Amino acid sequence: MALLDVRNLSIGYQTRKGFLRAVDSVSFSVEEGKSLGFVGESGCGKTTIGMTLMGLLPKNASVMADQIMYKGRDLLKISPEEMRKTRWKDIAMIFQAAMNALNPVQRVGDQIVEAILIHEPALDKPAAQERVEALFDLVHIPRERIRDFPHQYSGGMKQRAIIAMALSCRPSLIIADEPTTALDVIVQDQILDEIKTLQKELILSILFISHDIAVVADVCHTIAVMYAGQIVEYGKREEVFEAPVHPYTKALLGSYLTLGTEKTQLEGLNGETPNLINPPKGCRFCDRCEATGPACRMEIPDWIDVSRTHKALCCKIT
Amino acid sequence: MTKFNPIRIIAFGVLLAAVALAGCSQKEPAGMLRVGLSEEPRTLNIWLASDANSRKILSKIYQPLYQHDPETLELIPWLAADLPEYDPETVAYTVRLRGARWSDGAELTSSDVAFTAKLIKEFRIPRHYSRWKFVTRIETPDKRTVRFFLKNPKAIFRSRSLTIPIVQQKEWEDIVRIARTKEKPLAELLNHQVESPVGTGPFVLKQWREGAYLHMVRNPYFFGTGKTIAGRQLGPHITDIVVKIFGTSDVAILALKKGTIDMFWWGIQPGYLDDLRNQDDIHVYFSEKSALYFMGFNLRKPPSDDPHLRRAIATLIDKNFIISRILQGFGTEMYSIIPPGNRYWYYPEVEKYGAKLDRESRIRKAYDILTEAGYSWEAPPIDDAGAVIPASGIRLPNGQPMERFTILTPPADYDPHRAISGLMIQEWLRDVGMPAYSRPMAFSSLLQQVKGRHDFDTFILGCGKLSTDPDYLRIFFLSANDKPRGWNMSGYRNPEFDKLATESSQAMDREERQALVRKMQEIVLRDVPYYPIYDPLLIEAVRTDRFTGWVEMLEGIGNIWSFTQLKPISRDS
Amino acid sequence: MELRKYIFRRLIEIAIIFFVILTVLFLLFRLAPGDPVTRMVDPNMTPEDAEHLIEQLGLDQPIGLQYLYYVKNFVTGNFGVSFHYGQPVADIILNRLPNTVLLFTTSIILSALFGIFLGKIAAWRKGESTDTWMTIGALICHTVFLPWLALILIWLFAYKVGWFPLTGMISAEVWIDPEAGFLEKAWDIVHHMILPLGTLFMIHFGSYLLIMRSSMLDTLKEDYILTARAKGLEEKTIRNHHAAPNAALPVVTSVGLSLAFSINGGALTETVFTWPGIGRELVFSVSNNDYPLAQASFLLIAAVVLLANLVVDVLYAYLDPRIRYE
Repeated sequence: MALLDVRNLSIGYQTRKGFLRAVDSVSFSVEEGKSLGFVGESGCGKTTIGMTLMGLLPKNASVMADQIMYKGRDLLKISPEEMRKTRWKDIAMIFQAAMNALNPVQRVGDQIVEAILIHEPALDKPAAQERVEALFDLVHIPRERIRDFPHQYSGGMKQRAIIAMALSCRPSLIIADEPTTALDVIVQDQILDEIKTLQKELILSILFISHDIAVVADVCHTIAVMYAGQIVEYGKREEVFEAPVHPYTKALLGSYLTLGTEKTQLEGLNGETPNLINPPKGCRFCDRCEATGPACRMEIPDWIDVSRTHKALCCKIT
Repeated sequence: MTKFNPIRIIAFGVLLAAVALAGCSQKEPAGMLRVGLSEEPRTLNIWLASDANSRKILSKIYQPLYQHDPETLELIPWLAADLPEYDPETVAYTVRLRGARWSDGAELTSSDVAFTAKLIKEFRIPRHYSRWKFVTRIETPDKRTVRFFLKNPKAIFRSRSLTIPIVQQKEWEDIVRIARTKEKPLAELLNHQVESPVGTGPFVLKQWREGAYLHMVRNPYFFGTGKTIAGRQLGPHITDIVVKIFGTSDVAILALKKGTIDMFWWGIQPGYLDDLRNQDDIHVYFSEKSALYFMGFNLRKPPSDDPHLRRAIATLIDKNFIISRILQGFGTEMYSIIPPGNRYWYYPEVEKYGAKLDRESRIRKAYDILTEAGYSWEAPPIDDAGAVIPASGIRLPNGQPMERFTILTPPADYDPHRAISGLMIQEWLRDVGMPAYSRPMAFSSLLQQVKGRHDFDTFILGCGKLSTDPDYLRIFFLSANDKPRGWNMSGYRNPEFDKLATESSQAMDREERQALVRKMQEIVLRDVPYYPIYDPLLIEAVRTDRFTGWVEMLEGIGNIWSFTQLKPISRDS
Repeated sequence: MELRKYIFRRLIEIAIIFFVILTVLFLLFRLAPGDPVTRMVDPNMTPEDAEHLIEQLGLDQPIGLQYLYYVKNFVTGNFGVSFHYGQPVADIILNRLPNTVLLFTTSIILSALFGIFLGKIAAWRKGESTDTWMTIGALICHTVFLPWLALILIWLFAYKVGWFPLTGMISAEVWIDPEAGFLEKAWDIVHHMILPLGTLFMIHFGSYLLIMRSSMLDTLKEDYILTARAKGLEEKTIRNHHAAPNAALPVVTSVGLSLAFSINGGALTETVFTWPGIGRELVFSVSNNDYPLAQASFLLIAAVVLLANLVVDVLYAYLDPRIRYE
């Protein structure tokens, strides 16, 4: 049985202009010790999925799904208090390091100790501190930096500290939301290696979120390509990476191959992502798609199975 | 941390209130008179004490040789045994002392009196020196007799010089000896800290907690206890006086109504009267003040250097309006420089400039005065048909247009009455086309302009505390006093007046002096360097449930007679 | 040590600014109209008396010489003698200052604590009725005219209900009673303090509430709050341990400077409540042209405010590890 099994998840926000459907009927699952990568442009809904799993959506968000099964429990049905206890203990999150993810006025070690103690009240403080030391060894930060403040760390160290914090309660699932985006390329590689190693050693499941398909391809067993709130292609890394079927995936890979750094506009793609308050009736990608035809605008695309593990949402594929 | 909970806060408040209530049991002994004052006394050093509040306290402690009778204002022997004897041949006054004791038990002797007078002369104590500088020699033939030799006869000696407070030689001689050796002897003396003043008065200071209260107790050695002086049997019957300070009249009035003070020793604004009259245990006293509120003119420059113009302005000022509308009736019209309450010296037959006239008649009369003096108008205030119309373009007798001039007044927050009076007068003067502008000015600046620099046109000021002796009439208008910081602020110079004034200061016969003083009033009101406007009534309020026996007098009930005669009302009855 | 160097540099700056203030004050008071003698409106005061007094007060000296004496006296710690009270200025200030500090400093501390506490809650419940009422209440209290509020409170609680004494700092009746013990006297002061303290509290807590509220709202948008939430912390812990300490940082500056300024008291409050503090004395001394007292009081305030600025800056470095001074 999958560790996490999400069926038909839709997430919307009530905004002043109307109801915004940020995520539209996505289904995916994560096996134990495996990793799933979400990739797509910013605003495609991938971060929203992460936040939903953490139960951290803002109050004006509404979540609908057939189920969000985690370790046999439906996260949709548990109380907020249970959800709070699940956070970090079972599902932890690695934030982007450039974000002010660490509290600037508290020592890094204390912030990790705090996370440990809240979920394991039986533990005393020295024991928690010992665990922090072990975690620092694990992510290769010198122990004497435990009592430093976040601003004394470099970007890479901050990211390692955040990883250490995410691992502090030994969760089964880690959601990594753009964990390497703000780092320079060399540090980025080190961190990704670190994550891969840890995943193997600790048998972690990881839900990896990135706009960079290369990063996802490097780490994940399975890849879900998202566009405008929908998963448009889903399959094993090799399948998606080596034989993409959806035009959008192809475009993403094209831009990856040019080895560009972060891009606001994907290579070869013109136009803007559709408005999610009133999405187009047919395929959401049709306005930007090179292969678009009249049917694309009218028909709601269907899932096409490329293989048993590989499928895409497109009208053009036969 | 506890959760925010309004109920807890309310509960806390109630608890606090309950505790507060428990601590609310104040006790005041039956003989303790509690007096409210509007400001702290400045000092207990009698030589520095130029402010009203210090004098209120010190007048219970330091006593003069003579007091004034509350009704007749005649001199009453106080520390002296009887009235001074004057010897015209040697120009000397002899004063015999009654047997009085200082609050430390020592006897008051003639050397104390001589010491005080010499101290004033030697250190040239401001406010006192001018009354003593003409004393050339002081003899003390025996313990109870003092003889003062004067350079020349001085009318003010009896009532002005012999009414200064006497200090104890023992208390002051060391201080004087040290001060004498210093570079600034007067400053040294004024800056001496007096902790517990030794006096001969009915009360002694027990404690002054600065910023909080002042506690006086009965002086067991007070010479007057049990004696009858000026037909009054003296106590004091009060055991303690506690003086409390109130920053605002509003709160002092609440304290009076609530009974936390028995007397508020400060003039009350008429606005409080309705409220106070409705209170059962409060009595309001209205006393005449010895004050002069007047309009002053600068005689050194046009246009106010012309007596005709000053008379026209005087005619235009409606005192009745100012008193009834601005003072709400709590004041009396003043016609002479000396207040009418000072009956012996006041001269009612001075020129009254349009008293009781209506507005139009005033304008006509002022128009006549000005036309006769050669003033002219582009548009005169009286048209060909004889009707009063708006005037403009007034020209001086020399044909020059009259330039705008100002009426300086204290600001409204200092004294609304004077500020508003200034505005009213401005309007009345404009009725005949005079370009008058009323201008409120901070009090210090106003005095600097008028008294220091003589840089002004006209002003409205008041003298709050005139002595009963009319010598100020001389001081205000003597040519010699027309100098910076001098009291002749108008710059009035009249040899005729100077001669009379000098004579009056030397006239030893009271009736002769009265005639001279009357003549002086007549001349001043003829030339109008000052034009008297009003003398406000002093409104004071006391509680009637604890003490009785307040003595009404010029300048209010807070006189020595009240404090020596007040009796506690027995609580049992 | 960087910090030590920084403090040293700042102290030199403060000394220079202080000297400038010293000079400006001197000039201001000499340029102001009037002098301590002209104000005495007493016909017994002759021009000769006035000149004698001016000479005795040293005001007849050329202004340059007066200035030199003033600086010399100041440097040697001699603040002179008040013209008005004839008392050493230092005595007067030492007599009044503790009263002001007791009332005003307490009120700043109380209103800051409450303001920060309530501001935190208002921001946390943004948009709820708690927030709306607190914000409206804070704005009303913040804008109300102080003497009016003071008189209303006195009238209601001291006069009508009679829970508190009308005004003043102590009751003569209690303090002259030889049997009154320390506790009774201490309670007497507290009892007198409640109303003025309450008034000042109502006037001041609003501004702290509003500052804290807006600072807290900004902090709540920070990413580390999301981290704290993701860590599974309880909401109260997030609010009190992660959001509030960060949000309170900018309020610290405001409180620090208010504390410094609180030593000048408030002339209005002190007048209405007849509180024997330095604020009323300050106003009197200016209107009486009592140069020594006025100059010393203003210099004291200047010194305290300047030093408080430094203290706040250094304190800030301790509270916020990101800030370092070079």
